Amino acid sequence: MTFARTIALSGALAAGIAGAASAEKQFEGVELKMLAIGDTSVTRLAPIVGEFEEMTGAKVQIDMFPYPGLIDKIVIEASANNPSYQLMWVDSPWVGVLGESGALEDLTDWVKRDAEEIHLDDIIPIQLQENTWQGRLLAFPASGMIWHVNYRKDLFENPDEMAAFKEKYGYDLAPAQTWDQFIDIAEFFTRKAGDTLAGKTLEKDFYGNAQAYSRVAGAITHDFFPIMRSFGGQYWDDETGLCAIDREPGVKAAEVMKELVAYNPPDYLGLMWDIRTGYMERGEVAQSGYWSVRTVRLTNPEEAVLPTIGEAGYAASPTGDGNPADTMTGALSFGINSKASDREKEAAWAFIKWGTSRDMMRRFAEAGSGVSQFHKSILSDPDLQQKYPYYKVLLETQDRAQRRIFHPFYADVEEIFGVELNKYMAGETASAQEALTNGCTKINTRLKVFPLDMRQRWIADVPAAIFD
Amino acid sequence: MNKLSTRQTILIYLALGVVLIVFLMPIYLIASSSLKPSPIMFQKPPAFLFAPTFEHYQDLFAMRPFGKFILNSLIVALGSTAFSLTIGSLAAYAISRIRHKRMNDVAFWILSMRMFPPIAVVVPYYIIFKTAGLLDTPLALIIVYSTANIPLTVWLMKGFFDEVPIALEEAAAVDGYGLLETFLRVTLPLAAPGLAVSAVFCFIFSWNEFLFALMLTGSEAQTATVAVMSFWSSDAVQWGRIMAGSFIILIPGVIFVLTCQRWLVRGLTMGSVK
Repeated sequence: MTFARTIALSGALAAGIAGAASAEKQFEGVELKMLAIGDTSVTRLAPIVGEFEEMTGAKVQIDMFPYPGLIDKIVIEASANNPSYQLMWVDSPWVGVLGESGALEDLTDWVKRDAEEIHLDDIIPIQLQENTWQGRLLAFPASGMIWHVNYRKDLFENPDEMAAFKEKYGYDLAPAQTWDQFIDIAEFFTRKAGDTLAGKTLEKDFYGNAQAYSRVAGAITHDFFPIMRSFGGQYWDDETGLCAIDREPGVKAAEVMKELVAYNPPDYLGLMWDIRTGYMERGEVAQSGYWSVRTVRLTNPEEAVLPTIGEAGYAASPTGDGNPADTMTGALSFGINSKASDREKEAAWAFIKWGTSRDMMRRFAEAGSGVSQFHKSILSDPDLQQKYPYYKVLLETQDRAQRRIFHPFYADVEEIFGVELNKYMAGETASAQEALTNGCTKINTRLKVFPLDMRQRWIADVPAAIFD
Repeated sequence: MNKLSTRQTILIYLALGVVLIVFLMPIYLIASSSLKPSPIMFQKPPAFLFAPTFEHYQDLFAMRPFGKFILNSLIVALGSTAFSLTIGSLAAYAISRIRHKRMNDVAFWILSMRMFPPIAVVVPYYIIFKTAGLLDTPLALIIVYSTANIPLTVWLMKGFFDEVPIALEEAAAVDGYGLLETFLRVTLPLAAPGLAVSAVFCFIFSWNEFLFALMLTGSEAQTATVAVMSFWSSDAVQWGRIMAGSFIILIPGVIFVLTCQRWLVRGLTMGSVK
C-alpha cells in the first residue's frame, strides 16, 4: 500500500470517528463483555476497542478463553437472564447447537436494515450462510476461511524437478487438479536424506505431503471432509436425516488419505492443526492442504522457515475428476447473546458492524494481520493480492464452497469419525467402507431417537432471509 | 543388612536414573519447548541444541494479564486449602471422637460429596453464583473447590486423629485444658503430618482445576490454568506460550510441596505400620 493511501485511509477513519464522536454518543454508559477465544479474529481487535468506545460511548471488554469448552460456556451464559457476556465469538459449526439452544440473537433484520452500511453485497454469500441456522443469521463473519492447498512453488518451478516429473508421470508438474495428481506429486517429492532435491543434497527426509491424521479434536475429519465434498459427498441423507458419510464419495476420500500415508511424515497419526502446518512452514513437505487462517504464516519469516529457504504457492483443493467441485468453507464470527437487554443488543450490533467492517478488514490486511478475508473487494484488490498471494485462491474458490457441518451433532460426528478414520489409517480397520460404516452406525444410533421431521430440519440448509 | 556389592549399587543407580528420566522428561520438554523458537517447535528429529528465546514468556505476559491470573490461582488455591483444613480438621476430629452408631454413615455422606461428576453441577453452580453476585470472583471458586477438598480432608484427618491416643487428651483435660484448647495444643500438633498431606492434596487440586475455573470465571477471577489454555484457539495452538505458562504454573506447586515435604513423608507413611 502506498504511503499516500495510508494517509488517506487514516484520515477517513479519523474523520469518521470524529464525526461520530461529535454527535451524541449513542451508547454512553453501556458496558459490553465479549466471550471469545484468542484467535486472530479477536486479538487484532482487542487492542483497539478503545476506538469504539471513543466513537459510541460503549465500553467493550474482550475476555479470551480456550477453544475447547467455549461453546459450553456460551450455552451456560445464555441460560441466565441478565448475562455477563453480551457478545459471543462463534465458530460456524456451532450454529446448530447454539441455534437449537436459542443462545444467539437473530441478526437477520439488522443486517437487512443496515445492508448498505455493512456493504452486504460485497460480502461473499457463503460466509454469511455459514452462520445461518434455519434461515436465521445468528452470527456475523469476522474471519472467513477456505480449505485450499499450499505447496512449495520454488520446487514446483525447478527445471530439474519439472523435467524429472514429466519423464516419470507423463504430464507437467503443476498444482494438482485431481487427487490422483496430488498423490503422484506426493510420491514424486518423497525423498530420503542423502537424495537430491532441486539440486541440493537433503540432510534429512523430505515428505511429499502433510495431512492431519490425528483423532484429537477430530482433526482428521477436517482433512477428510473437504476431500469427500470434492467427490460430491454429503454428510446426511436428505430423506432420512441420517448419516451418509459412508457412501462412495466418503470411501473414495478415505482411500485417498490412506494412499497419502506413505508420503507423509512418520508421525502422521499425531498430526493436527499447527503440528501439521509446521511441516509446511518449515519447508519440509512439498504440499499440504489446510484452512487458510494459517496460510499467512508462509510468507512471514518470523513465523515460518519457508520464506527463508523457498517460496510458497497456493492453489485450490483438487477434485475427483479435475473439474471444479465443492470445497469447504468456514467462518469465525461474532454473535449476540439472546438474553442481553435491547440496548445492549443494539450496542453489540454496532460493535460487530464496526469490528467486521470493510474498512476495518482492509486496515487489518494493510497492517499485516494475516486474517482470512470475506469481502470480495479486499480479496480482489491487486495491491493486497500482491501482498497476500493466496487472496486470489480464496476469492476464486468460494463460489463453489459449501458449508462446514452445522448439525447440532457436529461434535459427535467429528469425534466418532475422528476415531474411525484414524483407526483405518493406522491399519486397525480393514477397509474404508468398514470404518465409515462403523462411524455412521454410531451416529445413527444417537440420531434415531429423534423424530424424522426433526432430523430433516437439522440438516436443512435454509438460506438466510437476508438474501431475499 | 548386607552391604551392597558394586554391581548392585550400579544397577540401583541405573534404575534410579531411568526413573528420574521418566519423571523429569515431561518437565524438560515443557521447559525446552517454552524456550524454543516457534518455527522449530515440532521439528523432527527434535532440536536439542537451539538458540533459546524468551519470546513465549514475553508474549504470555504481553497478550494476557498473566501475573494477575497467577495471583488469582494463588488466592483460590490457598484460600480453599486454608478453609478446607480448618473446617475439615474440625469435622474429622468430631467424627473421630464422637461415639455414635451412625457416625460412619455421616462420614460416608461427607465423602459422597466428592462422587458427583463435576459437569453435572456446573450449571446449578453458575446460576447460584450468578444470583448471588459471586460469578467471576475468587470466592466462588474457593467455595466450589472447598466442597471437594473438605470431604478429602475429613477422611484423611480422621485417620490421623484416630491414631492420637485418647489418654493424651484426658491428661490435657486433667491439666485444665478445655475441648478447643486440647484440640489445638495437643491433638492437632500430633496430626500435623496429616495436615501437611491434606494441604498438599487440596492445594494441588485447587491449583490445577480447569472445568469450574473455565465456567465460573471471566477476566477478573480467571485462573492460570484457564489462561494458559486460552492460547488454544481455532486457528492455532500456541504451544510455545502454553509451555511457557505451564512451566510457570509448575513452580508454585513445587514450592508448596517442598515446603510441606518435612511433614509429608511422615504423613504418607503414618499408620501404615502398627
